[in-house]
Amino acid sequence: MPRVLLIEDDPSVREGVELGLRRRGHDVRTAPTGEAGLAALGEFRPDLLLLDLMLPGMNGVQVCRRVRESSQLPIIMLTARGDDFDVVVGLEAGADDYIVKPARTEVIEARIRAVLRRIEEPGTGRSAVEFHGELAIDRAGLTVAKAGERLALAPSELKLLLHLTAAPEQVFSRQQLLEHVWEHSYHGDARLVDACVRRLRNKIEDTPGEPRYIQTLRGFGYRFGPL
Amino acid sequence: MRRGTAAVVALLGTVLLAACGIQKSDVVEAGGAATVAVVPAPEFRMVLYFLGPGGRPTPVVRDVAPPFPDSTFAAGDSEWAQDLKSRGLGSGTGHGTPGARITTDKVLAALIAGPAVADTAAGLTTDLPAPPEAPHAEVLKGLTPEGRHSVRLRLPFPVGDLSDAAVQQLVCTTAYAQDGGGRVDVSLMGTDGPLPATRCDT
Amino acid sequence: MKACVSPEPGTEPDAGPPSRSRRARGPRLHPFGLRTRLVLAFLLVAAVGCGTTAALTYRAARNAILEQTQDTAVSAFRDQVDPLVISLPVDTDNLRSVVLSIARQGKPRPWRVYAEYGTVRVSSTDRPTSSVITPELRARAQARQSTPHGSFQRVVKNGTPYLTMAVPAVFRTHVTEGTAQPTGLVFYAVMELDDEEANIEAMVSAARDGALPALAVALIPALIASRGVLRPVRELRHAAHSMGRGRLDTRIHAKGSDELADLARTFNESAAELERSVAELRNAEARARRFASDVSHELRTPLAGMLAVTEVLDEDAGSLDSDTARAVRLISAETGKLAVLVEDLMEISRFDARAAELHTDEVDAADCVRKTLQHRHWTDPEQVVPYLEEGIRARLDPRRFDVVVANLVGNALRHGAAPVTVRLYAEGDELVTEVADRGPGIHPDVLPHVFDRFYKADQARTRSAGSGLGLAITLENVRLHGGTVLAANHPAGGAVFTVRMPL
Repeated sequence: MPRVLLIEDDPSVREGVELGLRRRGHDVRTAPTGEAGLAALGEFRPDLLLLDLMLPGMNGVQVCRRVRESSQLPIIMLTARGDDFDVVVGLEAGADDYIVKPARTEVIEARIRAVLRRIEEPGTGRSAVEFHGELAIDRAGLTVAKAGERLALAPSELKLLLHLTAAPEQVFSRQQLLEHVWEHSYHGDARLVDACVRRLRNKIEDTPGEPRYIQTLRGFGYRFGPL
Repeated sequence: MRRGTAAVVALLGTVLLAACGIQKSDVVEAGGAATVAVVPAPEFRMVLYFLGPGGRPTPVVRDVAPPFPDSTFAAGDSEWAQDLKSRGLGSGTGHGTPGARITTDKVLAALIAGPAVADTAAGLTTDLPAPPEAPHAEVLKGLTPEGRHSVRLRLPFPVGDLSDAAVQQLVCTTAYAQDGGGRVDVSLMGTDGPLPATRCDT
Repeated sequence: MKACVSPEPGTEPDAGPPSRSRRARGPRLHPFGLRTRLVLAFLLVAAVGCGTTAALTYRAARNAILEQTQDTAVSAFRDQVDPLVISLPVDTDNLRSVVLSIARQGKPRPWRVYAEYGTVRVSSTDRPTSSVITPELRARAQARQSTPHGSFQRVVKNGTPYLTMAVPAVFRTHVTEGTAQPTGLVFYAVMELDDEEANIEAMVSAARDGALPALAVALIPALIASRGVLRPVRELRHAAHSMGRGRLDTRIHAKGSDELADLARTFNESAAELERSVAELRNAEARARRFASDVSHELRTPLAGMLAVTEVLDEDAGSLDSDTARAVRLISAETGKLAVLVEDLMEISRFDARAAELHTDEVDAADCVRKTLQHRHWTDPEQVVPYLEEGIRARLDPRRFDVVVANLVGNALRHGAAPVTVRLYAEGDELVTEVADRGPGIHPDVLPHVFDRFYKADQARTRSAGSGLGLAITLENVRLHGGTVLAANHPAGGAVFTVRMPL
């Protein structure tokens, strides 16, 4: 069962979510502040970080950036709907998904599973490495290298790239990507996709302003290539 | 507002249009008449009234026994008048003098005699009958309340049928023969009786 | 729309953006506006003034000219006749030479001279008498009156004005005391007045030539005055317009002490008063909204904790004794509803605070509706029947459109009767979504209020299954898209909700 680190300042939410997840078999560690959470990170070694955006002192977005500096740990933000700007900043900072509070435990758990899914089930065992231009994608090893240099991709970035490269030159609408990569509903927040694409382009494109690998088709969605 | 404007414009237009150019006018009196001199001078003439066109009494001037052959002087010269009066030849200057009465009868005789050729040529006529006898004028004593003299005219014909114009002929001729100013009331006494006292209308 | 009663044709609730389609108005042209009227009035006054002055001056001048001419002529004529010496009856030859001599002395201008005595007619011309001498003039000249007068008359014949004069000749009956007796001789003179007419014509044209430039000059002060009046009026109009568009801090620069300045000051005072009242109202409203928003914010955090543990309660309820189990299940269920209510309240607060954002995306509209129905498990064709036009690409916020469709279908299922039909089609440049049920329809009294918040059609029913905000949120979401939503009753029965959004 996944190990989840929950950083949440409100005791009732912290306790409620911890209780709900533990009942479902998760190994949950909680921290009331960003600083405490970062401290617990090295010692607890979680599989996933549940991060409240509104924290006293160091806020969620700062924590998110700090984590991404050194690791590709899956991060899910806890937010209230309407805090739209925070969501965008959090996504830009590298969060993989977000959950709107209040949420039932089953929703939280489903989201956790969705984020962890590919990473928990590493392919079919064949270690075929695909080459797309300068990109080398190892579907089994879940690694991506550009010009021989390994890229550090967050889970959502990796999953998006794998999904797009599985069918090069095929156009995916953002709704389709939300459904298949994030396992959200069709009507989910397309900004997840846009933010993720931006982050991914920054890592794989030569000039992110003129993308070569992940191309935008205005009004339709995204596709990989043609190179 | 527009109706008012139209009214004002119409009024203005009417005033302007009506005032344009020279309009004909009614007869307007302006000043007195022109006083001309009639020859011969009052001392040497008698004034008879005949009738002009339309029955208007029109004066005719005749010489009376011209003492001087050259009678074409301007009248109204006071020097002349004094001169003539001093010789006892004034015609209408006095009343009750024997000369004047005789003169009046003479004048009436001339009137009864009718217009001369020259008068007729000028379109003058008379409305008086031509009796064999001359009328006689007698001055009545006393003055009327207005201070006028009265003259009774005895006529040798009936006066009841006389036209107004004929009466005026007689009255005016008598009045001016009797008095220079014509301030005389004249009553006609015909063969059929008297007519009320009348004046010369002018 | 909480209870649907009798089927009646619907009315449009306060849906869509306020239809104050004010066009930006530039300076409009009024054919009989203030400016035209002012200028016309000015011109009229100027015209009346010019005209009256000109007319009066003209009349006076004309009369003066005529009088001068007439008096001069009559008096000159009399002076010519005065020194004559005549015999009575007149001597025709003598008279003719006299008449000719007078004719030569015409003053101020040549005249034709006629003399009449009895039937004698003598003239200075070929013809013995003149046709312009009227019978009236003759009658006046020959009238027997105590003091005979000279007289004149203006006659216009064939457009030419003539001055005809008559001077009767009188003579003294006695040297000193005689009265003036008419001789029966009358002198007439006829003089053309064409010079005077020319003078008068010149005056008329001078008056006209003076009046037209005067009118043109009057235009300048007219325009200046009308500008002076109209500028404040225009400012007032702009200010009123600007106030109407909600700019309550609009003020007019009021200067001077005339009526328009008074008006401007009154306007400013009223505007200030209005601004103050509106600000108070807005503050009160804002306080109320902030309160609602704060309350829901405060409720949300404990709810987040509670909602996370409802599962624990539900799972363990079975092992508790029955009363405790019921209590625990009740708490769990109501917590869920409370969470939905708070979430809806927050959403409404965001709309009120204009903090709601539209994240549009170009999507396949039919797909969008289909996914909504699938997601809510409304897939039973006996419950919900979709008629979706395929292939419409629409630019909308998928999450908000999902809320709109879900709320309308959920509402139809709750208050109407199955089957609920969902139609989707494009009409012009609008995307039309129509949700119809087979229920009893909406009562006409209720119809205008179906989109009100927490509106209870049936007062006896204290709570509906929904939050009571579903249709209000639907309306706000549609408005956010720039669309309209219409509630009505279908003639064949049942309520119909029609959403129109720009494609």
